[in-house]
Amino acid sequence: MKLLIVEDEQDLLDLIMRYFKREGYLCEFANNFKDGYKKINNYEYDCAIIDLNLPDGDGLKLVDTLRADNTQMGILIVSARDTVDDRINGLDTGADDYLTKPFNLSELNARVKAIMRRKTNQFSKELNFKNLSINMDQRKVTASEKVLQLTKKEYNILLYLARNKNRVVTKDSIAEHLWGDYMDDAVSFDFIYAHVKNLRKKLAENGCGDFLKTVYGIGYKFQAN
Amino acid sequence: MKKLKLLYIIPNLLAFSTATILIGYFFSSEYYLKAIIVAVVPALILAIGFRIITYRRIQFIRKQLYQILETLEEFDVDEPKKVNFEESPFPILNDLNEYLVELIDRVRKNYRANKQFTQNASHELQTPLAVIKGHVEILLQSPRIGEKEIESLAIVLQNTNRLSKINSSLILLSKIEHQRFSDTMKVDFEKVAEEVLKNFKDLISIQEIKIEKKYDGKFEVEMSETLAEILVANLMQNAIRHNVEDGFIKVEVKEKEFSISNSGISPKVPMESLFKRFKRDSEVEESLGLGLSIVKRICEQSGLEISYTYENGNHEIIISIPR
Repeated sequence: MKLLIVEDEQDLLDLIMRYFKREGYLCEFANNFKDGYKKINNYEYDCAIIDLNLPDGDGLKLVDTLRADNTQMGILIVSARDTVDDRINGLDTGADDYLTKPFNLSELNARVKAIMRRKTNQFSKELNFKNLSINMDQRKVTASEKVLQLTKKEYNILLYLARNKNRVVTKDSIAEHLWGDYMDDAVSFDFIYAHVKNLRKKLAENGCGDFLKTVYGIGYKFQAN
Repeated sequence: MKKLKLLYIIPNLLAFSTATILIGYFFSSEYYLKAIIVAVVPALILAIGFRIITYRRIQFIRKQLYQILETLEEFDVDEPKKVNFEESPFPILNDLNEYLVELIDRVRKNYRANKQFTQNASHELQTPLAVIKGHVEILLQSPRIGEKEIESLAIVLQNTNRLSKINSSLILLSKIEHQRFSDTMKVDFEKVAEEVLKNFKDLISIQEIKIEKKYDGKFEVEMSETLAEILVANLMQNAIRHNVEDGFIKVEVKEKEFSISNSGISPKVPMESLFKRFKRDSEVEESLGLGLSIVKRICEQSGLEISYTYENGNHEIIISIPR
């Protein structure tokens, strides 16, 4: 998996690179529009993460260039521009997804994975862990061969955690994943807690009780193997 | 000032000359009378003429002052339009104009710098905050990290989250203040309320809050749709957060009025100060104290009136169109 990250904030760039390298991606980067443009034209990537505000040009033009070449490459825009118009504009230009800054790394990871799953077949439609399997096409969760009845939110939480397996996922990142920005922490954390409790119960009843771990004060972790 | 003093002399002068004439008339020495008339009549004419001239001048000055006032009234710090005053034949008014132009320039410059600073500060903070958060996330994944360290990281993370929430609220506030929302349309508050209720459905049900709806009329406002949603969402969030066990939330739409009321304990801070930034009811720790000032700003920007009352465990916020 080859990833191109176009971002002018050095710190943020380092952070994203570090995160995805640990995930086992091959990462390349560009600090500005010019480099980004060159890399896009000379090499092939599976997915590009593109910041819109670049010192020497508009990232949207990169997206446009990519799509003009009829590439199947996954494109994810990350930007501080957060109005509905900006989003629509970005998606219309051909991006697969649009994430506003500041974002959580787990969210970025989940989105990149979702894009890759849609784009290629090398990402399976199912996530399998021991006796638990999540079918993303049918939104179906099977535990010890039994189909679980999950609510939409429970399913989303489980999938989000599973996509970030073996990593601590913070509560605020779950909240943002489920509701976007407007949700208030105090209330939504209670809500997440209640949902994870239910989810865990349903999993435990079918012999999958060990997957969800609580990390006190921070969030949850999907423990695989 | 000198001219004004002269003006005061005129009635005195008039009174004095009338008195002299009368004295002369009654004590009738013809020669004396003639002398007086010769002396007084030109003085009188002069005085009256002078008064007319002064009156005109004052009238003129007054007109010019009103013009200046009008220009000042129309003045808006936020607009780049240059303020122009008419050239006046009176040096003092020209001085005043000059001074005003200079003052306005200075005010504008300061205002712009201030505004720029708030905007820049919030925006510049975003990236470092994201970097801190990201690195904490990475640290959390390290297998070498123990429970004690995780506890510290949890605190770092909580506070960074708080900072970043405050920051995004401030960015939102400055965006509202500088009218960065252009999706103005006729907004139907019943629709907005339904949309917001749908988004908050989960939270309302988990806290077992009863929802009452009363739609008795249409409340339509010409305003930004985004802002209307933020407005109602903020109010709803407050109504949920400050609610009690077995509580209720009542959403009411009438002609020219929209209100949300909820059950809750009495507020700990004076009602008027609730709309101020960073004022919050200390009972609810996670509250940032920015929600209601955002609400207020949106109302001001959209020409709406807002009022808050508390009575017997019932908080009510009413949004209305001013009469």
